[in-house]
Amino acid sequence: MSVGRRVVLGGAAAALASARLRRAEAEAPKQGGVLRVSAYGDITSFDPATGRSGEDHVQLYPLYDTLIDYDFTTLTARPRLATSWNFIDSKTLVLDIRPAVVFHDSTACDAEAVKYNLDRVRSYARSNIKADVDAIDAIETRGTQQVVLHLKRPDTALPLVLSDRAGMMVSPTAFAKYGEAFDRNPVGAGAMRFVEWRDKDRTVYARNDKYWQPGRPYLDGIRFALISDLQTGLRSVMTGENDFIYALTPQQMMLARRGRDLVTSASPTLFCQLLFFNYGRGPMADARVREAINYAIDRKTFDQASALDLYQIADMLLPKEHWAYDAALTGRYPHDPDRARALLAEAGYHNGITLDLMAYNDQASQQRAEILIEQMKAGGITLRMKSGALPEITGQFFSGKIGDMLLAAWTGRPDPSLSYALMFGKNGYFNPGGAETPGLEDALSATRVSEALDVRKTAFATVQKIVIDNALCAPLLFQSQLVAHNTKVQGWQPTLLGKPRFDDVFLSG
Amino acid sequence: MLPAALLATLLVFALLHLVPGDPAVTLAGENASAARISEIRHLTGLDRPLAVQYLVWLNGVLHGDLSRSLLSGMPVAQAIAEKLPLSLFIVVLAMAFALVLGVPLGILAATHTGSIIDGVVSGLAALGVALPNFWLAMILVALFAIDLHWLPATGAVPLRDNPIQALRHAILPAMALAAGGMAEVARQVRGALTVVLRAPFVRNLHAKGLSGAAIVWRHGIRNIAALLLTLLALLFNRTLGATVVIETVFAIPGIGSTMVEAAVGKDFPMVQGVVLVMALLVIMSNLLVDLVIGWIDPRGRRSVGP
Repeated sequence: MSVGRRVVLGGAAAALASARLRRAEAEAPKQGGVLRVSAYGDITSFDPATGRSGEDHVQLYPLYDTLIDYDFTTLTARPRLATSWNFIDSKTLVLDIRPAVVFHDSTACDAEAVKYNLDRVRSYARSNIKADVDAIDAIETRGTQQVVLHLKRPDTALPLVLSDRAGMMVSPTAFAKYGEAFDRNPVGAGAMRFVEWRDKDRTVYARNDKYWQPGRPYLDGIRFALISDLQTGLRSVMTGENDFIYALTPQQMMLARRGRDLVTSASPTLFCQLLFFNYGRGPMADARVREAINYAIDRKTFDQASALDLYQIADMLLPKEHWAYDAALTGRYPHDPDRARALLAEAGYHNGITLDLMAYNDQASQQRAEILIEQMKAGGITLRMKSGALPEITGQFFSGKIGDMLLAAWTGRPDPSLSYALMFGKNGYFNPGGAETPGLEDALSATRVSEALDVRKTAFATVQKIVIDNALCAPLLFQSQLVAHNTKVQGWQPTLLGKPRFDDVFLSG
Repeated sequence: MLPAALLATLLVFALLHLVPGDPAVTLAGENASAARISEIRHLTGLDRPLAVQYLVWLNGVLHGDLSRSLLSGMPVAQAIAEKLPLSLFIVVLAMAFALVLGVPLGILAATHTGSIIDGVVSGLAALGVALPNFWLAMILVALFAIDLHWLPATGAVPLRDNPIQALRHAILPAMALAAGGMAEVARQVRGALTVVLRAPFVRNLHAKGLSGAAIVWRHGIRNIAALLLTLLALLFNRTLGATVVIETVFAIPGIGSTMVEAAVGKDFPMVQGVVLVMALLVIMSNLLVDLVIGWIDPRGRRSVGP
């Protein structure tokens, strides 16, 4: 029996985790101190409705409490500003709003404020998340603490949608005051209030003394040092200038593990590296070609070569820790280059096939692309690579419909129905060919009919089976959230969504 | 002066538009529809003809308005006003290091031509020119920040906020920037001073009984002052350009790192604003050096007309 690096690293991580746990048990949470985080870049906007990057959340979470929260490890919905919610019928969602919550500017966060926020997200001209709440037809308040959402169609994904940007409550008073300038003057109801943002330099938060959770937050403040180069960010933690860094690469993780007085952790996330396909035209419209690509990939070797065996192999778009993961669907495409060649021959490509691969021009993406190019050769697939900056290549593939496949990643959404609809739905932005897959639209609708998790899980199994059987993409790896922090930082918990939160963090010593 | 700066902005504007990519796509967010992207293109004026876009920007500049960043919404003038002092402080400190180390080394080599000292200085100078500054920066951080904990590895503090901390943060980046300049100064001083020290008037000075040090400092350096000033201007231009890399390595929110990120995000107003200011700085430094040379060397003031 061979002991893989994953096992060794997993054991080391478990030992570290248990050591951390013991320390945490030994030390009760304490108040005070400012957490210094190395964040890899400016936020795109402090207004949750106008922001445009999944990387913004780490800086949004401390400022804005969401209506509904998600469980860190399973991503199931749990109360936050809404103490409870209930679908009284398939098209009516009732939310009970927590009493006595105020925004940082002392405006009441009541039913009226919630209605204002949801209407704002739906109607504000600059809102980038209108699609998230498209199912809402009308919003009604009942008293000061209850909101009723009337839906155009059944949508049980809505509670988890409200744990994302759409559910982040902003102060109506502040938004009326600042207008577009709210992008730089955020006022929420979160554990921290905004103090300062210096572009490319730092953002500073201070404790919200009016926060509704007794005894929280533990920290007096958070300071994000905006360091776009992760290597530089890691150095800042190693020298003690910052306390915490996230989103490390596997190579940087190895360096962090050698650092003095640094604690590291690797935890699973929804962030999935994959090949997006344009299956609306040409050879990619043939499922056998797409299957051949999936068979040609040796995911285990890909993990070892590109991620030092620190990531999780992806059979589908949900990692095994997710509540909707279905173990029965794993292993559909083992590495089998002969099968890939046979499928290509069956599709009429007896001498193999040449396809256009789009890839980003950063070093890690180029390395991943080169590994795939080599692996696919054995399956009779020649890849012609075109690379460029992320916005450029993304725009060319999804909007310009250029290329057969794109090597990129899917950051995940709190509710999986959003991911599947956006990526494979007929009108999904990330389905560049706009091709309709038989049975998929109905299967997607079925995931939003019932609120019961077991019913939804069954419905998602159907969706995932359709996606896998039709090889609508080639999932590769789930990235781990690789984090390093000094020993002062206590109580940090990873989230399956992969977006760091500091709700339970306190500083020791 | 102004035409040269504007020409630089025009060239950068044209180059940025030659690079594929659309800032409206970035601004629209992750799942934006084509309609939303074109709406943003219209709102930001990116759907206008390129010539119109440039002239609108130029009109703003002539009225003292450098426009706003497409990505952050911050006024470009405000961003530059905040970031430029951080970069200039590092550049000035780097030039000071380069002069303080380079001039004595050059003199030492020139006064010991052909000796081991000359060989060592020449070797150091060759090394200084050959070492990439980002690599040297990482070595300096590993030694002085990570191992010894003497100096910070990242960030910057404005001079007006805390001069001591500002200096501590600027030392390592300035040292990394100064290596090439120090080498260049040492080589140039050695070469020029060697020629001066072989001149007939230096023999007369020796005959008069002046010490070697007096000859070098009172007569030699005065003769190469114009060269040193010209070198200073070149050094300023080069060091200012090198901040683009060094600021990334040290996470300094200066003008260089701002331009890199703006260029990657195709934030046209920010890139053009920074280029305009950098071009003006370079032109002004050259002009200043020309004036000073004219002042200290009468030959520079002579008319070239008949």
